[in-house]
Amino acid sequence: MAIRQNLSLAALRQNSRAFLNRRYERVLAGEMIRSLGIKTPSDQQPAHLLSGGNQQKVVLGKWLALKPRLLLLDEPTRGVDIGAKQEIYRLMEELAEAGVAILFVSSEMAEIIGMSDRTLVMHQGRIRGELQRSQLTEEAIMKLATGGVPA
Amino acid sequence: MKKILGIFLLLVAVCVATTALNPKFLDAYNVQNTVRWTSLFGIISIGVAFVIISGGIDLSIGSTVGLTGTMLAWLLTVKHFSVPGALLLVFLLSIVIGLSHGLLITKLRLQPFVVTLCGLLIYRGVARYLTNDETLGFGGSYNALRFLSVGHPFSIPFPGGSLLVPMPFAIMLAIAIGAAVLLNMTIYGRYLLALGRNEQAARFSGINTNRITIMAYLICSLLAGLGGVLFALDVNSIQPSGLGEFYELYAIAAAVLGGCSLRGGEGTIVGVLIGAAVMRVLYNAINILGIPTQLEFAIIGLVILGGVIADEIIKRIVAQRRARVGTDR
Repeated sequence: MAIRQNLSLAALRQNSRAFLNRRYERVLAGEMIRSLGIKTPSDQQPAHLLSGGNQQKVVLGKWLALKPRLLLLDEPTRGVDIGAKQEIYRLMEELAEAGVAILFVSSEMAEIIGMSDRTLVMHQGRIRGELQRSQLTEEAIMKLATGGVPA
Repeated sequence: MKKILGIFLLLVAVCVATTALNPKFLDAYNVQNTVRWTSLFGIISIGVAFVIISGGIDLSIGSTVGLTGTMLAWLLTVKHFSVPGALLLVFLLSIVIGLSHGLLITKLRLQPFVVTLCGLLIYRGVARYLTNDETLGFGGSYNALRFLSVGHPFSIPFPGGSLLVPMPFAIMLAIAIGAAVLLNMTIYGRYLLALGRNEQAARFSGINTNRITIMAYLICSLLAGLGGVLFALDVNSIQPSGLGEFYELYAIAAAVLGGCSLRGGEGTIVGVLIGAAVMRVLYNAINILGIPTQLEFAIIGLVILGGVIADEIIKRIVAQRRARVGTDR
């Protein structure tokens, strides 16, 4: 499915009850490609031909079209190359700046320490502890993640 | 547009070849009949197109046609129902059939092939049991109702007289326009195409895929039911064991010829109608060219196979050329 149609898929119902709003789709696709920096020759490009990182951005854009106040991201950078990772981090920061609350799940240490304001560490399906930004170190996280008690 | 060009050329080629071999092909009467039967098959083909685009299949169409057609005749002539009452019951039955297919496929996760194959057996059996396998007919009555199928609401000028436009053509046209709008201009249509392309991705995009699927089977059975009514009114000699037999295969063939991929997510209404026209013109050609009718299936099969092979080869050549242009840049 072309990027333009893909980006509007989740938000279609917000805009009309039954009929497609083609002008909205075109404008939305242009906006998202620009603001997310999706690298594509046109918005008619099939989404499956994009690189992993750009596909991930399309998925993100699909939900951002709903103008959410809370965003849940599960491993937002898995299977994404390093350059695109940085862009996704930048986007997350911009969104947070704009007032969107972001709850994200990650198993990458560097990503957690770099991105989060508050971290809940889990071990065997249970929350083992909460770390504030100032307490975030690899050691503290590992300790909780392996079932230890916080220092 | 590119996708239906091939099938459109096939239609033109078959028409030209048939006319060259027997000019009677273009007689007003013959054209009228071919248009009428193309329209009847077009209606059930549009129905199955929705299911095929969703990524499913409906094998029960022929038996649904048989059951609804038989039911109509049985309710009117044996049970002496009023016309609106009989029509209402027949359409309710089609809705129940479509809903059960959709619910079994989505809620119980049964395979569409299996569910509708069982439907094919069940509805045929019920039709034969209801009527004791006796042939039914409307005789000379119910002419107002039969107008729906055999009537000619208006005529258009035609070389060597005028061409009476068959009523089923008008019905088919209205349905085709409605279906094209639904498929291309509504959120439902977009969701259906997304579902057919990639069901998981569609679900992850917040689409209620079950509802979209159920709707597709509902549309298919409803149009098969309408087809059953019209076919019954048309033939006027309704054999419970024969009415609509193999029609599911004609409908599926028309849809596939017309560019619907059996993998789902692709198809146009115009393409499906051209596909239905190819099937009917071939059938007509076999008749008027004096080709032994025993060969009917073989010839239709061969032409469709040829069309599909040509389509595939053209697609590959186009893809290769595009890839070459891509690397040159």
